[in-house]
Amino acid sequence: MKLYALVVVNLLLWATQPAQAQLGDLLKQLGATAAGVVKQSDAAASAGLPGIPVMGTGKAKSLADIDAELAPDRQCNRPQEKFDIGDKVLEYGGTEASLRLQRIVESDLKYEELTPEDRKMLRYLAQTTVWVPVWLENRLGSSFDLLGNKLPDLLPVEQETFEEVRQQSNKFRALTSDFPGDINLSLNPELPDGAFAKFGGRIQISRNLLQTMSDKPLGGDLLLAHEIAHVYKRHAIKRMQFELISSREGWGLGKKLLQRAQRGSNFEPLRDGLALATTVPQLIAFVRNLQLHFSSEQELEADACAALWLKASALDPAKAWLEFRSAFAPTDAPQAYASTHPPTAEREENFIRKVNSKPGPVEAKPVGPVKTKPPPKKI
Amino acid sequence: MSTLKSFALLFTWLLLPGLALAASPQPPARCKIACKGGPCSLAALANATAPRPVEGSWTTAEQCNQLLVNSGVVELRYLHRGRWFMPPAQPTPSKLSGVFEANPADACSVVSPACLQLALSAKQAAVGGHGIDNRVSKPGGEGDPCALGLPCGTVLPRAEPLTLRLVDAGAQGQLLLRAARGQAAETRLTVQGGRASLSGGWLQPGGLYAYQFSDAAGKPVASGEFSLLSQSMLERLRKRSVQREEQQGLSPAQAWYDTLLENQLLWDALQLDLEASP
Repeated sequence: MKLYALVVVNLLLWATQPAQAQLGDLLKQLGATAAGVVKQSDAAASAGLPGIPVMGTGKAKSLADIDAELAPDRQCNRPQEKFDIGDKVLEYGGTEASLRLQRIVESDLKYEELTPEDRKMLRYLAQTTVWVPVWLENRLGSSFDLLGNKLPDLLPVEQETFEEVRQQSNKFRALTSDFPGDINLSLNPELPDGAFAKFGGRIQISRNLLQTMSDKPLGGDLLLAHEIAHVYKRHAIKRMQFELISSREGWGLGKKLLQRAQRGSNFEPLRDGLALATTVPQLIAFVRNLQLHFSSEQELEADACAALWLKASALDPAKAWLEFRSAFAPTDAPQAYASTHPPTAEREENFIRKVNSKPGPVEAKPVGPVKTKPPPKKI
Repeated sequence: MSTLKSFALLFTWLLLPGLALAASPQPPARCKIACKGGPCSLAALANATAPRPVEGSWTTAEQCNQLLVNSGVVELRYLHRGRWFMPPAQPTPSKLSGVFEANPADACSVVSPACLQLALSAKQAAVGGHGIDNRVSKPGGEGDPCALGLPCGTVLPRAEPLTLRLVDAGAQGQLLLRAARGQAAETRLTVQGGRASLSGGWLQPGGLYAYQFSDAAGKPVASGEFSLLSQSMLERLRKRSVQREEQQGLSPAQAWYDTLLENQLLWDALQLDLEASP
């Protein structure tokens, strides 16, 4: 309870910082083309529901287009999901869909009262847009850090090795400069095994995997690229959005986020600050109770991006895969693993397909390095 | 009168626990002790027995907080807040209790199989996330394998055969060992007289291994896992040990032991203790 109060105070303090500076930063981060509120007057540019041809200047996407957009991005060539819910809902079903969304989020419509069409539209939006602006996503990540246990200091023998791994990850960060948030890599000695990515661009690796990475750098490159891909493809946020609109418990909160997202990316310190102070702790509580597992398809997407970025970094993805398979992949497949991860053979097939495809439009751009915790204190 | 009596009772009730606390001796703390720069001698306060430390190797001592340095200079080590604590050398005369009061020893102040079990079982509660895979890990295993003396946590890679010494010197059975990550590999070791031997090079640096120990009747007793330190990290560890030797004037054996403990290679530190024990 005390910690939640800390988060609330933290958010309120942050929200009351000079509005001008924040607005400037936000506009830089989110681009000037913010999604605006859909108004009745926009009806002139109306379009119909998906697949239904309509008169007017706007045009709704066909069902085939929508299906294609919802299919997993196994080529890692789809544009980044953006904070553009207003534009996306228009693309989905024209003004009719926009007005329906407005009615859904502004009324006291209950989860049980959603029609199958409503659910379909919401799922589309959960998969193709981000409802949480990047500054809030970063804030969510740091709030998790605040609520979680402080990570123990690195052991002396781990410090240099971890620094090398951090340097290793910078080349992939350079390839993902269109990702607007932070990416924070850390070693979590409390993590018994594995590596994972979560909200706010947090990537954690276990001691076990750090050891393997230090002797098998190419397999380690694949692992880092895979985790960064989860962050880049906004898998955690999309999964959370999907869970919010797919459960009675999450629906109220999901509505609040959708309502906020419809107002666009402009940050209004008083209105947003107060709303966030109540919404963010609820969001954290919801996510903490959520066993957030990425789907099999998200794993394949992350593999596809990893293959692309290894190629773009002049590394041999086939060799990286072999090293990964021979040193990192679990030899057993517990039930939990099998339910969320595709079989290794399918992953390999997907990976090799991507390796053999023509080079995509990937180029390295100068960006800041991957952030890490400050160096641990020596005893 | 009755009010006065009540106050007196209340006063006693409030004060007694404090007095009792002040009077109670510190919990006995075990430590590792050695002479530095020549011979040294210790005396025991109260009922403790004074150990006879030597120069160049660590001796385990009981009730270290009840010891007095009689002559020479003494080095000591113990676990404080889970880290290998290295206080400055204690000259003559000094009561070691001062060191322990300022930096209390952990309940497990030196490594033992039971302490290793406690440390690794605590890790089971750590909640991971999800990403590269979802392998279910249990560093403390099932059936307290670390307390039995089986490998746990991070273990040093070896070119030579690895000898496993179980706490129960009469233990018989089979140990099924397999790679938990990477290339599939499996081997079965016979445990006889509490010992088993694994051929050198079978374990790969940086690898992760799981095992199951079954008794002579084939009944599973315990299962666990351990990882091997990578080759590059082993080289770093060796360098750090040499630096420590030079900077702190320790013997190679002492410096290596400190380096292992400082980097939480507890199982290997325990093996050194077992090798040194009669």
